[in-house]
Amino acid sequence: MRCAGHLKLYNLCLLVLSSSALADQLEFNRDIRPILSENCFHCHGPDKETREAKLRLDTREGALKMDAIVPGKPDDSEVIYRITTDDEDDLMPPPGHHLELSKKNIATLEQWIKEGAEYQQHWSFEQPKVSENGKLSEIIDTEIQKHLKNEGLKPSPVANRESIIRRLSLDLRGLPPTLAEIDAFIADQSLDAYEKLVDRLLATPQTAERLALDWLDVARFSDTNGYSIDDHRDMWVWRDWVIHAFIKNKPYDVFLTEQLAGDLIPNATPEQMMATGFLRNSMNTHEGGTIAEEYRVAYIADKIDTVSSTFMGLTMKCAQCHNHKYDPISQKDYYRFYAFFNSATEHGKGATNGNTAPFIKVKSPLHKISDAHKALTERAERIRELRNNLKNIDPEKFASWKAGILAKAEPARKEQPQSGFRFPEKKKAEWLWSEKSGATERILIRTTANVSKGLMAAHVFFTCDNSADFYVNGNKLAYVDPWMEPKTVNITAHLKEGKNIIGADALNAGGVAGFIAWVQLDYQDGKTDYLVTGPDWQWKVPGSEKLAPQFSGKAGWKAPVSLGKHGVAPWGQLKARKGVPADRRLATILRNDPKSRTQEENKLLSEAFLKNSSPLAKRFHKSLGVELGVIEKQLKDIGKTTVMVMDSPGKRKTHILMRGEYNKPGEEVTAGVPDLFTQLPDDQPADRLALARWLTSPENPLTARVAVNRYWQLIFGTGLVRTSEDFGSQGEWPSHQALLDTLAVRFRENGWDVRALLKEMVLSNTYRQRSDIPLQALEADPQNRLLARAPRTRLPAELVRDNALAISGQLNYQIGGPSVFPEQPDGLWRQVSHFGYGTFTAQAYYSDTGGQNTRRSMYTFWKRTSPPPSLSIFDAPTRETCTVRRLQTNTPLQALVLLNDPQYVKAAGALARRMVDEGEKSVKDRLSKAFRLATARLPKSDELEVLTAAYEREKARFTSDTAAARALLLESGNTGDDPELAALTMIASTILNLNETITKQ
Amino acid sequence: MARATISRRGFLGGTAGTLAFMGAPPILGAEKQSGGLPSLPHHKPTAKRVIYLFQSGGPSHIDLFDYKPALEKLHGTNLPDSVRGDQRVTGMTAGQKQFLVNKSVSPIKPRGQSGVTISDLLPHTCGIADDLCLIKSVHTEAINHDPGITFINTGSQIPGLPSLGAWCNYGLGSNNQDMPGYIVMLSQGNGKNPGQPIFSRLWGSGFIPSSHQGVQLRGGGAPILYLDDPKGIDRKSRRDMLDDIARLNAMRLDQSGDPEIATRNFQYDMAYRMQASAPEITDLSDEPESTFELYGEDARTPGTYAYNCLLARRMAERDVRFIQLFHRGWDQHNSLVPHLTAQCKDTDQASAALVTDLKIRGMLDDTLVIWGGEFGRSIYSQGKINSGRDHHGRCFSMWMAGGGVKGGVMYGETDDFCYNIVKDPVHIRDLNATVLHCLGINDKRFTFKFQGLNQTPTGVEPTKVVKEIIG
Repeated sequence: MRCAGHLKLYNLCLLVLSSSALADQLEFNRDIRPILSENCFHCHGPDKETREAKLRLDTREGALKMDAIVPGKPDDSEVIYRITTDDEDDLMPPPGHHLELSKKNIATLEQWIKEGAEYQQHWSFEQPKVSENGKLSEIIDTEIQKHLKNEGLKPSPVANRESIIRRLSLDLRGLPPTLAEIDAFIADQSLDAYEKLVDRLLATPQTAERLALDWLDVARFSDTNGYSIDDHRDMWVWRDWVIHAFIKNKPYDVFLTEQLAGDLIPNATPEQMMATGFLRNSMNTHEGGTIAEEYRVAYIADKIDTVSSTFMGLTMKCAQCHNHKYDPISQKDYYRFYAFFNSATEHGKGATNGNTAPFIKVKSPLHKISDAHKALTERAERIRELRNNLKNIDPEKFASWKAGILAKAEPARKEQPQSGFRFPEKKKAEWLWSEKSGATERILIRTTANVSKGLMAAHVFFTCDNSADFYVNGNKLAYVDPWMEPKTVNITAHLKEGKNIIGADALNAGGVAGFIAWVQLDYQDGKTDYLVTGPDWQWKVPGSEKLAPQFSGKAGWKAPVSLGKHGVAPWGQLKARKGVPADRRLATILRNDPKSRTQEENKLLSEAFLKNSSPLAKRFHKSLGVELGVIEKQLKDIGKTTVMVMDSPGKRKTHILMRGEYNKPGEEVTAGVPDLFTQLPDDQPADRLALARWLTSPENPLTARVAVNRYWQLIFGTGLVRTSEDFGSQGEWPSHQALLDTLAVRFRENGWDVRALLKEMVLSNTYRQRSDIPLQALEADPQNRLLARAPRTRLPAELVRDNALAISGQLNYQIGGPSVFPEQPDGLWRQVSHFGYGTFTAQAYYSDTGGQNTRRSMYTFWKRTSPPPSLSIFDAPTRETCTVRRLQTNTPLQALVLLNDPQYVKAAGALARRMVDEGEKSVKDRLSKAFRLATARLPKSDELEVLTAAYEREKARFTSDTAAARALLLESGNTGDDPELAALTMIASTILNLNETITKQ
Repeated sequence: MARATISRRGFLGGTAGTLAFMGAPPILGAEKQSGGLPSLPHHKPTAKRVIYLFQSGGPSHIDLFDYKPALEKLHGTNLPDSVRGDQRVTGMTAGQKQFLVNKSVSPIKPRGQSGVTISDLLPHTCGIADDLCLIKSVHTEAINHDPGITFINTGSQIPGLPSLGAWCNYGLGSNNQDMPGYIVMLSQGNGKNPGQPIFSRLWGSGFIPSSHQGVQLRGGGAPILYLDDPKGIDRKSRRDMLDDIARLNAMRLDQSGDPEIATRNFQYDMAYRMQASAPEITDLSDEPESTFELYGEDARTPGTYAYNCLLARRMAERDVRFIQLFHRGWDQHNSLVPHLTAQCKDTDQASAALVTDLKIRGMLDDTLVIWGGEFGRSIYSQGKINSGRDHHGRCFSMWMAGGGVKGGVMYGETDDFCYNIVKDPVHIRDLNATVLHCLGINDKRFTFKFQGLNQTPTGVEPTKVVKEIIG
């Protein structure tokens, strides 16, 4: 029975086999290990704790021992029976495991056994072999073309110069080329024009920034502590260290060694010590109730995860709790590795609002103290201003508070000799009378006050030479005499919405006569209107109404004569009395035009307002105070800034932690590297420095391969090993192993020179191909692993924004320094944070204004529990843990960012301005230029037609709807209502939204 | 017109869905246009969607649900060591000399026909007792907020893994092309204000593509970030502009053959539709007065829990797959009575209203509503009697309603001290496995390959679906 069923299946498999791509000799690592690893190793692999039936299939010795595999004889091999049987009790993998071997995989295994069941050490654990001499860029082409030929594919023709320079500039600098750079490159007819361009771009500091950007993901760099309250930390100096290292083209082995063990290098410099901030970028917590040791263990586990993924391309995480199921890494290996980091004094309970010990104070290696100082000073100013304008954040409460203050300052009497009240000088009132001589002894004088909805308070300040009664809507409210003591009256209660007649019954007693008045109307929305005496007032001689003057009616009213503006002789300046009580002072400030208030006045208002009026304002006041404190401290320490580092007093012993639990110590272990590799030398201490030397030694099979693969990923979009974080048995087989090995060995032999490596990659013809996708190529190799064409990838999140800033001419090229706070939607941090509780930093986001708003995105302040939204939407990771490879998505939220994020709207506005300002006169020239800034090429005629038609359409719309033009221009950072500029803004936004603009191609 | 002119070649890549991957694992390439994996569901689901009313901070099971008459006598006595056992206690009470038993601060009684036990503090919830499945034996290893809330939402105390909602969005996709498949809404209670912080990782996508992460709906301003067009651009001019973009993109598509361009045009169209459909959710003008009688007046105020509950119902009507509310303020270390009372007042009416409302509309059958937090609270008092309670993860209570879960049922039992589970424990992993089961997903067969492992929503530990509570 057994045989019959078996054979039938076997025949079927042969059919599959003959039509599949298994014509070549099978290779264990490429063809067999993935199948066994996925389906068998969990129970029959390196972990003896979970090994079933004492059978292991990860070594040949183990597999032959029990006739599980009989070389050359699949029919006699138990493995084949087990994976093909109909008997559910015997079937492997057991049905409950939800794994199922495909027919193709079964056939592959049978074929392999038939061929002799040869095993190989896992490919990445073996030394890379190098067979090729010659120029690396040519080896790249030879290897790539060899594989293409095998698949019957051909490389694509070379891309044109515009494409090449844009691709190169985006890859190396993360920024588009300028138009001058494009023109110069096209014009350069020399044979080495391209190489010169490569050299020039590689030497720019922007290339260092671009390379540092990827390292920030790997190193899980952040400006906050990560867990729980997620307050700030100061690690920007470490970011400066990384940028500086790339500026100096620090050899990768040194780069690695300093970050892993800079503190242990004999006579370590401060710069070498600060490099170990790499390890300290782990998240930490100071949540109340935390058991510190539990978290200290977690921080070390995070360091192991980061070091093993970044430098070794291995996932050791599994072995924290049990032996690795797939790779030969035991739990003991894990804790020996753990011992390298366990001796540090880093405590499980993190510090509040800053760095957790151990830390040192260092100078930024970028030496841009003055820039940093300027940026921080600006920010401090901004925070102070926000703090002094707390009324803006709770307008409703502020309006009612303001009304209260004003009411208190003005007792509800109709007439009130006033002090401490002064109308703004800039509202110049005029002295008026019926004629210059002052012969007329008595006149009525009036004006109309239009009162809108929402009036909060109204006052009049007036005087008359010699005396006057003041009337509102026929009611007498005040009397003044002599003119040297002007009166202030609260007339709020007597005004109604709409038209009101305000007037005076004025008397002269010979000689010069004059009347002057200011009326101030304060509205709830903070707006203030003024009515001051001037030519629009009217006068008449009172008729028979001696006792009850009539201010209404039309008859007899004439225009007055102006005797000069306030301040003229003989009256001079009218002054209020001195000695103002606090509430009066506030009332005075409140009555002033908000725009004319001094910073000191605003501060007084803010502090008085939040004292007992607005809990929200109080929270902001506290929060802004904390932020200000941080900035002031940073400013004070600008010469030397703290940065967290590693230390190694070496006192703590290391035990295996059973099931990975911090409180279940087992066997004691000493520091060392996993058993499967060449061990550390005995003649030096087994510390992090020894680990770094081991990683960078010529015998290490992984470090160079993993590094060159990551740089290949940067340039070509996908690594030669696609799973760039995993070179273990569950990782993917390299698409071009010989090439990977050659690159790795040559990289090491060439002094770990990153720039030289990148240069060889971009000098290759493979890199310089066109990126268009021929239909046949798409079908043959949809993911472009064989590189029959140059890759097309969307820019990483940060570069999508940097690109828009550069195209629109807004980019601030300042390098390094403290993190910045570009505009983001209000309230995102507060919605999740501990805002209002205690005095923690980074609980509310206060955006920058001015130049810091347009720095490169790598400098954006990174809060792990609420990362910058427009970057997250474009797949930036949270930086909570090490990320070696980002996935890319294409979503509607990305469209919304590019269309509507105020940062991109302003970029469109700036690009529109640029079209106008930079000299192009014709619409076509302007549109072409913007298009070229974004894509490095001129639009084709059909493209230009679309753009021009769109422009004309929008111009017509904005011409007929100037309100829309004004609104859009305001939103996009411009002013006015010019329909042409508004239309250009629409086109600029269109261009910034093109797929091509955000794609490297 | 022009937006339909997507080249035939555009669709050959197979990535023209809601996602396009650069070098993604093969399993993803097969994703359907509406999102979701072709291999799902594994079995017939009982729920189409989830509304998760997450109560952040650790609501007290002792004062709200877990009825223990024996505590009347034990009140004020020291908790026996035999009960505490080797329990890990947080640093906040580890130093206490005494662990005084503190009975419920409010009477808990059997309610409805079924006798599901609920506190007087939750009068409206008492009214839906017969619709609830009260699980009194949920447990977790975490003893502090960050690890606790990360654990229950992502399956691990250490950050980096996808949230349950992201898994569901990834696996099942959305039935509504115009709305995100996973929406998150936040609110702050009056009990402890501000409550413990929460984190975007709780609705994050971890290692699966970021398009599956929860989209956080905002309390004020545009409901979805960047939803509103800038002033000066009306719907027609936006449409015109999108047509221009589509036209220009299509020209590049013809030239380059890059299927990604077709996908992008598709996403822009979806964004345009989302701009219309998202505000419909927050426009409550079509709600009758009776809605606000049911949910309470708070439901008119954006950003409140009641408003978010009402929005959750409106999203469910529009077939959003996974809707999650996070309501902060359940961390009663002190001021137990006033703060707990305030928290209950904030949440009771609207939670009950949501269940009732869904039932009236016939949607409770296929909508799974979940209510609960990251852990419970200690029977012993933190400080003086009735002053507060510390965290307690060894047992706590959660309730579910609808979505195929039995109503009027209590599952699991704790000891006399609400301290240890004596019957039918439900680890938070089991709870998540059960939620997935209701959605037709076997948690161990639902995988995403990362770092060489077939990662699952519930990790490597075994799980047990609580089949007993599924009708």
